[in-house]
Amino acid sequence: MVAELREREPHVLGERLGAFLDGELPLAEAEAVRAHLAACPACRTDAVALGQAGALLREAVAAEPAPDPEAVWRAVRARLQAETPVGAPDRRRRTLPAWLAWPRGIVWTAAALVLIAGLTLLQTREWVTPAPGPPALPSPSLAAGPPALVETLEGGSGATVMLYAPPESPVPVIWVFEGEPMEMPDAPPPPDAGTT
Amino acid sequence: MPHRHRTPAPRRPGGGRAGLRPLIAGLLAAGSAALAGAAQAQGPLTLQAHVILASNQGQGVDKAIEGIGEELRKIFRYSRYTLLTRTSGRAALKETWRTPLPGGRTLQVTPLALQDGLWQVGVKILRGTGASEESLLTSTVKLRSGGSVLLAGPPHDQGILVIALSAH
Repeated sequence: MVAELREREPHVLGERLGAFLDGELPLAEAEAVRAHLAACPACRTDAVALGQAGALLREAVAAEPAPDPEAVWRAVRARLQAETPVGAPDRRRRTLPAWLAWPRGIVWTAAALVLIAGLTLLQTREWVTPAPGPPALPSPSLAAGPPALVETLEGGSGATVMLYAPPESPVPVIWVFEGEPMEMPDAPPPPDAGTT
Repeated sequence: MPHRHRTPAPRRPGGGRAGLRPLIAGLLAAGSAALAGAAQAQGPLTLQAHVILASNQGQGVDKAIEGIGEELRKIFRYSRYTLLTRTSGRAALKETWRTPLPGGRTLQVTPLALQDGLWQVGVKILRGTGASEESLLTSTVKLRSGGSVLLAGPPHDQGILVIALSAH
């Protein structure tokens, strides 16, 4: 239709007619167009047709519904489901649990490590009773202690060693004689263990 | 606002979460083993040594060692027992605790093993220092907590040294 209007250029007007119908022409120019339309039945017919087409177009634009994001998402999801072969791994499952399961697994792993470390520390009790210096020295008590057992005995560097087990005492005595065996006043009775 | 459906996805065997279960189970098993080992270790052994001069220079027993005075008299039959030094320290398994003795000697104790609450310790008396250090005594003793062994004989200051070595 516009092409036909352009073919009748001496009459009118083409884009000027559309602008006139939309009320976008300057006043003087609009008056000129209006005068021409009053005198020209062909251009008047074109103007009516063009005006109806514009109205239809505006109605069509006004009737166009706003895009629905949900509808778009549903369509995409339906498309993805339709493209997933039967029996193939579900891509959504592989992606979504990776987001959800890994942090949860890390939390459980960290909790297990903390539990293990805590129980180990509690067991050893090193952190509960730190040792800033030498431990306190209780008074020695020989007879009250549990018996001790001398397993091996060996002298060196010219020293002679001997094991003596005092009667009725849980404490064994290891004698060390450096060099020549020394004279001892009222030395204990001969030991019942071997000499090296 | 249309409501959204969130359909719970079925769990897949061998999925990411299931793959972590063996890892966590392994960690817990390792932790149990560590706890068992820690329970077995019981921490370091506390050692103490009372270094006593036994002589016939005078009479009596120092107040600090009154608790063992009677027993010392029965065993050694000296008239005077003087506490020269008392030292203590801690040593874990395979660690060595050393403490100096009079006359340039050194007492060296090394916990070698622990089984059922019975410590096996290596005991040495050394003489000299550095390259000239030589061993006078090498022994292995088994002790329970509170147990003691007496090392006696090295001459010192008109008497002999008596070392009461105890473990706790």
